[in-house]
Amino acid sequence: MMCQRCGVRPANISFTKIVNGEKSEAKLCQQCAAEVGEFSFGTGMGMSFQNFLSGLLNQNLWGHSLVPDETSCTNCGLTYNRFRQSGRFGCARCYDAFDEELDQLLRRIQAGTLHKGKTPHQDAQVSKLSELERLQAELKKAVEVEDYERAAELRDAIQALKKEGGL
Amino acid sequence: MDLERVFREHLSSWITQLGPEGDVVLSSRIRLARNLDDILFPSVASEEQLLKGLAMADRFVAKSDRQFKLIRLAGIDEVSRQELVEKHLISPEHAEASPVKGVIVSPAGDISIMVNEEDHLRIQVLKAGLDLHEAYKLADEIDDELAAAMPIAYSPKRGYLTACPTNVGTGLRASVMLHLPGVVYSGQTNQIAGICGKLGLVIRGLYGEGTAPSGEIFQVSNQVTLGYSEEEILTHLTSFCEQIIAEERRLRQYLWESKRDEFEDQVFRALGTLSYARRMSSNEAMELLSRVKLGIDLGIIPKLNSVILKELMVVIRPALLQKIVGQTLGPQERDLTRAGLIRERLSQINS
Ligand SMILES: [Zn+2]
Ligand SMILES: [Zn+2]
Repeated sequence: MMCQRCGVRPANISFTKIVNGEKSEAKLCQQCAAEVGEFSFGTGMGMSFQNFLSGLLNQNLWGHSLVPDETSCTNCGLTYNRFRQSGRFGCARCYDAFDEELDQLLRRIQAGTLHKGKTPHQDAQVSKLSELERLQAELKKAVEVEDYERAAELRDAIQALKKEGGL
Repeated sequence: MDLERVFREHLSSWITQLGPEGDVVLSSRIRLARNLDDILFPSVASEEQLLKGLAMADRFVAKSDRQFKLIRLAGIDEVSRQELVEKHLISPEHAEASPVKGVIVSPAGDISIMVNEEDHLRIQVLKAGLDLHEAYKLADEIDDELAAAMPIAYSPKRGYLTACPTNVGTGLRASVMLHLPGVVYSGQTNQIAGICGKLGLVIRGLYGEGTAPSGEIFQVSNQVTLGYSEEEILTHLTSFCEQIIAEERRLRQYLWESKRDEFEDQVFRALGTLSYARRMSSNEAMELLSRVKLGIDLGIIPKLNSVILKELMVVIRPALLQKIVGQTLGPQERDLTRAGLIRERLSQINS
């Protein structure tokens, strides 16, 4: 996360300011925070986290983009371009639709790209089954809209899941 | 009016108790972001879809044996919405008279589930003092109960799927509210902030309407949600807090010993103003309450209990103030009422 004032150093101080019930937040690096004065800042700092994240997405700091801007999620219709502007996904399927580009983004903003935490309290096999059903439904959709590239990816994912789950 | 009783009727246990390390830590909070699997995220879903989600939440409440209550934000007035913000049960962004927004609350006011905020569901648990693991245990149970009642968006690869990629994975945001006058008065704020940054933690000051941090209160939370387990996130933040607590205590002791006269003077001046002033803004009140709380925690003011100051820091806020006196007040009247309420509470203790 980069500082919203200098854009160079990582931000590690977050300011929340509430004026007349309006909340604004700014994320700054230690040095900028000191320069702005110990915990005081002008009204120009009301940049939103949303703008900041979309700035990060548009900088394309990780080199050339893997996903063409017109790539979209077949479930909600969100394009990668729109995601770049808003920093928000439209649905849970977006995570599959932008899977590759996401790897690079997550490497920057998270501690890794893979989940290490809680698994929902379901029978593991049940969740694999529903994952399989979901992938198959998505494959059907991809074929319908003639997105053969995506369909090929989904076929691979289904194969891998079947192997892994012994289904 | 018996203020002790009235305050306790309005405030949940995480405010009316001190909890572990209560001289430095005000509260611990766990938030889990979750989404329904088959509905688009709230920012793009249709009202009809989101109402479906709200109906699911309603059925969950009916079946649950936790005596939850679902409050529809459009069904209550502006002051009541603001009151929910001041009690930390909803975010300021959620305090909107939208027909799709709701919040599930527990009778004790320690659990809340925001429905259709940025994510479909945001589970939140609050505890007094430093108690992240206990708070998480409860949030985890609520999460299991929700998952048994509705389909939750989850992928084995990325974990719990959220509207913003900064919350994906565990969906866990753990935060601790700290009272750090020792750090602030000795000019160490930026050092602490620097350490936070190196440790992957975010620190924020709680702001009033001015530019100074309100009451030397800070909130520290984890920055990343993916790549670590819940246990790792909780342990990391807890051990950081343990160190900052030790440092804060050391600084308080040092300030008191090295500048005893000045220190005592400041603490008793603050108590004097709180006990006799006729008008008080919430900012001034926070500043003075912070100083008196420090005096109590250091044993300079023996008769008062620190928890009373913690309660006052919450009840002096505009919406809660109006709820407690049971009338609508303009800003000028609020300053008069606020001063009166503080005076009365402190005199009830002294008598
Ligand atoms: Zn900077
Ligand atoms: Zn989507």
